[in-house]
Amino acid sequence: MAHNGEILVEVKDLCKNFGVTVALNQVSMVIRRGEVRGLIGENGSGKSTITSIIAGIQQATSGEMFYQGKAWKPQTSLAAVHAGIGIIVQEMGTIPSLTVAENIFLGDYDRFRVGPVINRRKMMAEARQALEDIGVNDIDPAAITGRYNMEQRKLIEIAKTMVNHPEIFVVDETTTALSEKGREILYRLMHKAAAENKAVVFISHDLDEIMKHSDTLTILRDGNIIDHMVKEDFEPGSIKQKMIGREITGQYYRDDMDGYDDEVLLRAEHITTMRELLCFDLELHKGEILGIGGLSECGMHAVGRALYGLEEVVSGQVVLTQKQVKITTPEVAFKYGMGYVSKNRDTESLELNASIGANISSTGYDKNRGLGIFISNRKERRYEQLQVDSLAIKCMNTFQPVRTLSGGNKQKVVFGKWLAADADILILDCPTRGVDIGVKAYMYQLIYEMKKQGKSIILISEELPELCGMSDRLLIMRNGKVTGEFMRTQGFSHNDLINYMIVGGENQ
Amino acid sequence: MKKMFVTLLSLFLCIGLSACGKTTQSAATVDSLTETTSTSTAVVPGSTADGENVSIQLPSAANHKTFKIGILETQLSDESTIRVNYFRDYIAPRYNCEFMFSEACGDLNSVMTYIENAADAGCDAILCYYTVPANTEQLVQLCQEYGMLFIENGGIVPANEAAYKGGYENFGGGFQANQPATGRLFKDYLVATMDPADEHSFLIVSGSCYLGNMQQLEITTNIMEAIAEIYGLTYEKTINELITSSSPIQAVNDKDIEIYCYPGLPTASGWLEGLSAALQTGKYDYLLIAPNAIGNIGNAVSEVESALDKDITIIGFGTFGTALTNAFNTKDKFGNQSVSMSTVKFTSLVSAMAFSKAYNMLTGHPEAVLTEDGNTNVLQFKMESVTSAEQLAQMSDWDVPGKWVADYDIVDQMLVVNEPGLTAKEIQERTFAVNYESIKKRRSD
Amino acid sequence: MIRIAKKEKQKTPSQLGIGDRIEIIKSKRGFSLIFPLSMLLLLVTLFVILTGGDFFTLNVIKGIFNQSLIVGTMATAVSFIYTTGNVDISVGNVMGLSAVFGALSYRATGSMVLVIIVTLLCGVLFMMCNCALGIVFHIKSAMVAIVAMSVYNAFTEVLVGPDPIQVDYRLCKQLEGNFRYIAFLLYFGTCLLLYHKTAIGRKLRFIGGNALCANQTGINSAKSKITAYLFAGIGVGLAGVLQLLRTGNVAQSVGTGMGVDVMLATVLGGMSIFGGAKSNVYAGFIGAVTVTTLNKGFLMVGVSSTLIQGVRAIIFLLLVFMNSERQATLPSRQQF
Repeated sequence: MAHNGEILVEVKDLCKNFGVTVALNQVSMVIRRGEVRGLIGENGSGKSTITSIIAGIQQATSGEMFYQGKAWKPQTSLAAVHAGIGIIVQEMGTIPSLTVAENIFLGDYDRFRVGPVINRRKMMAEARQALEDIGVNDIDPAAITGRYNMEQRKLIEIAKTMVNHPEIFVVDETTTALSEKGREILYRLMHKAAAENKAVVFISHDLDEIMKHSDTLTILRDGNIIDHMVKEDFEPGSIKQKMIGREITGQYYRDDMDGYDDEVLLRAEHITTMRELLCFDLELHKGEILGIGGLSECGMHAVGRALYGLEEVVSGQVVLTQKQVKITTPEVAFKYGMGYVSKNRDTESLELNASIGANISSTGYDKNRGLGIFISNRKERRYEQLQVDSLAIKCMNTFQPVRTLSGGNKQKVVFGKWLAADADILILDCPTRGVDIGVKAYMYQLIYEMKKQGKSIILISEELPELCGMSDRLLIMRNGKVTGEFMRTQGFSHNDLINYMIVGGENQ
Repeated sequence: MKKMFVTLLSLFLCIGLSACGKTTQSAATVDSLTETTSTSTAVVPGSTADGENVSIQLPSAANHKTFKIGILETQLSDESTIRVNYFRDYIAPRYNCEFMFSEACGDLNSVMTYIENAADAGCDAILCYYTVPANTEQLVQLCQEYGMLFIENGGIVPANEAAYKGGYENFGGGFQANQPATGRLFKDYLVATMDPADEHSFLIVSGSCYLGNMQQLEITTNIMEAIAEIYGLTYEKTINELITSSSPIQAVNDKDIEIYCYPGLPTASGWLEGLSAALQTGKYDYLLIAPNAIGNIGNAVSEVESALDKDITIIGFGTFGTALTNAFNTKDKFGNQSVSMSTVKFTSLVSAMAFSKAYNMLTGHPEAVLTEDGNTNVLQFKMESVTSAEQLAQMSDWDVPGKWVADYDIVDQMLVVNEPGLTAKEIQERTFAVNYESIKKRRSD
Repeated sequence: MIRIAKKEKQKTPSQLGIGDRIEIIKSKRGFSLIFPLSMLLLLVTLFVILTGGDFFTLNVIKGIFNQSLIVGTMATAVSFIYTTGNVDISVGNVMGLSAVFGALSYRATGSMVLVIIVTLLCGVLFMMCNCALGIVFHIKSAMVAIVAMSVYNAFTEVLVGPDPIQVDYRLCKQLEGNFRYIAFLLYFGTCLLLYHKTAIGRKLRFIGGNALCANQTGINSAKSKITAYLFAGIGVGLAGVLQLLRTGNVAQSVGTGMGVDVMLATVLGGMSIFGGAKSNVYAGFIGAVTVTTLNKGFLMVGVSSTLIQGVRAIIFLLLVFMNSERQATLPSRQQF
């Protein structure tokens, strides 16, 4: 049985501090051969931290580690890789400007070295083999990685980890970036490794997924281990409760059937963009939560960008009907009361090196004026503090740089920014990606509050449950076109929705 | 609030320290870094112009406070290093002076900055090697504001006449080489060594003539005159027109002798390439250089000599240093020395001249820097010419630390305190008297 | 609906590494003002001690202020550009060429008022040229600056010729005293207000920190760049006026190398030339004063001229090391 296997990795009393933040507090854990160990917890609970320490990406502040029975203190991630520990990280782990093969063998080019020269042909061949081993045939090892989309790049990363035949590998929130096909590949690799008496550490936010694929589960909260569970004892309610530390009462998503007004606020009229959309139409009503879903390359992200003026509309137009304004640039969109939360949080929604306050107040320059064109510091502080308090953003003060926050708190800052702006129309693109349950629930609550206040929201998401749970009206897209429109009042059927996503129509 | 408080406290600490720390004497506080001062009283056998041996009582250093003199350099070169040695180690101890040397001050702004800083540092006089005549009066006025003397390395030209005739009490005038004499060195050498029967062609590097550099104008004019004299030729244009052209020009003449004038600053980009290109045409066998550029073109010339199998004679303006020594000692492929003649000067003599002006004024004898008309004067010296490696070796050895050409004898003879009633004219005669022959005689004694 | 109780703040542990403590201090606001000022104060104190009190006289302090005016003004001007993450080393040449036009207008009309106006306008004009090239043709500012440097330098050389163009030195001296201070303080004060108290500075910092994010937050990057270059142009023009007033003439070499001096002053004052969130408008002036203080102090203390460059370099390195914000992430902006 999985939980009787030989101990592969053991950590004892591991501590890690980032400045004043305690990421891990005397954590002790054991990972055995042949098991898929799940790690679950809210953002900031420390799961990524433990695995990154084991994989040599960071150093612990104190504590001990043992690997294969011997003391283990890797200085670099490459040392860990050579010792047989692999990790597929949450963030982007490939370098866009290198070729696929160069990324797969990153840092390890010496194995192809012949004298002073690197044998590229051999590298290509082995890269192709590595991709085939994980079941991917449509990625060219000689192509530049930047050409591929996020999911394909994640697959390249998986190949990179597996090519070294690790004894233990960590899957850190990787499934969020993958489609169904990609996830299948990953699950297959995980179970294969377990069957081969290796070990896998699986970190995910998706409770269903982690319950389905893990043999054992460790729950973390605020840097402490709360519990270890075996598969037989898995129970969603208790796991959630242990993760958050308190009972969750009520519904996760909305439980109402409130409708929306007939008034159309935003209209996309036959818009065509450079790449993904062709004669696309859309209407957004006042007080409506409009969901847009589909597979990752269906064009829904382009819709969000085009509506906000970020994507060039080659023909057709995006119009704010009430104000008779054509949206051409984000500046116009912002000026007329629109907001946009990008799915690339770190690169597009936040200025990482700026303080929390500076990020939040970036939408309030006009609102916070005191005398003439001068900004009132007092008003600005209030503007910022209001959001920090109401969203319970975990920080020392508003002057703390955003980059020191955990993923969930960062997303809260983004939300705070747009909430403070009091936008009438908010376009949310994957707003709960990489965010833990507690924060997710809170955000759904906020979205519903906003709807009640008469704001309109476009929710673009790759998570079907979320779309089903929150939308008043749901559009499914495929290949740049709307293939189906579904109303909340008529109920959402997951099967139908998936059919429309993949096949484009009713069940054939 | 707290931060403001802390900042204010630090400020007051600063003020408090300065109030406590001020001393009345401006003695050097960091010995290893500052120039040393020392006092000395000595009885030195000196000689006056008419050869009598008179024992002179040097004024005791206690008679005057330590004079602080700032030396303003435009660029840091071998020469400036020699000056540092001379002033700091030789002059300072004996005459109870302190010298403060600047970094390279290439433009007016940095010159003014240095002068202001020197004033704050307590300098009494500035010896200035930055020579832009148009700025002279301005700098004199600036020094006047700070109560400092100003002496420059230059002469009187229309652009700075106002300063020399303006009656400025703090202006010690200029010091420089006698340029007609420098020019004549070239003329004399050419006339003496060239045979009108031989055919030659000339590449004349006119340098900064087009910018109005007086010294180079003199040199180049003399060269052109010499060639005209030797071959009895007449130029189509006037000599002045030809040498002040800012682009290369053929000096067309009635004897069809190839004479090519090549202007430009040696430091400008493309200058060396242009010159090499001209040399590589193979037309010229005489290379006559007005600016101090012998070191820059050595390689270019030897390349041409070996490639085109042509013997090129180089005559130019130079200064003592490794570049010149190499130039003389390197034999070209024909077995001749690379440079046939160069002009040289003794840095210690020039420095002593500058120092004497400052010292005389500081010890209360401003008349030593005035002409008979009462205008501020220019003190001059004469350059020497060197024609062989042996002569160069001999002369190079003369102006070195420990045995300077301008030794205490020479310096004392320029100071009014040693010889009350000494006039500017007499000082001039004495500096002219320091020449190859007289130095050679002194050394052999 | 779901109710979630407010979470408690994290308790700070007692053990903090030295690196962590420094991080905390550095991220406190006000650090970028206090630290360079403290360093400056320290230097002044040091020189006061070494010169036995001579360093802290009114003349010396005035002298330092006077000497740092030109570079200080330019550094203040250029901080607008640096904040957006652009680098422009042609500012020295712009200043020079503006001063040339100013001097030429004096030659033509003899009016100092016109000189000032012409110089200021030229400063704005040339900086806006740089800006326009960057915006219209989408060329990086650094590249535009390199080309612009040569072009402006060529114009300067042609216009000035071998002899400097003179402006009446006496007149300049008269104006020098109060006009200089008033003009500088006016400009500096205005920049401080506009940068730190209005949306202008905040927008520029945002663009410098993350241009994509700024774009999505409704900040028009072209408009902001124009604003930045406009203020920079005024400052550079003013520096040209100050240069004219100080020296009373313009030579061919006017302004060469100042682009780098300004960069040095900015960095010494504690600001990163890559811009972003921690930028400010006063670092350049503090840095300029620091450089001037060092130069004057060295001379007054009597540091040997052969050692001066070395000692100064070491102090610069030290100051830069302590002052500058070393980002946890490398600058992601492509400069070329």
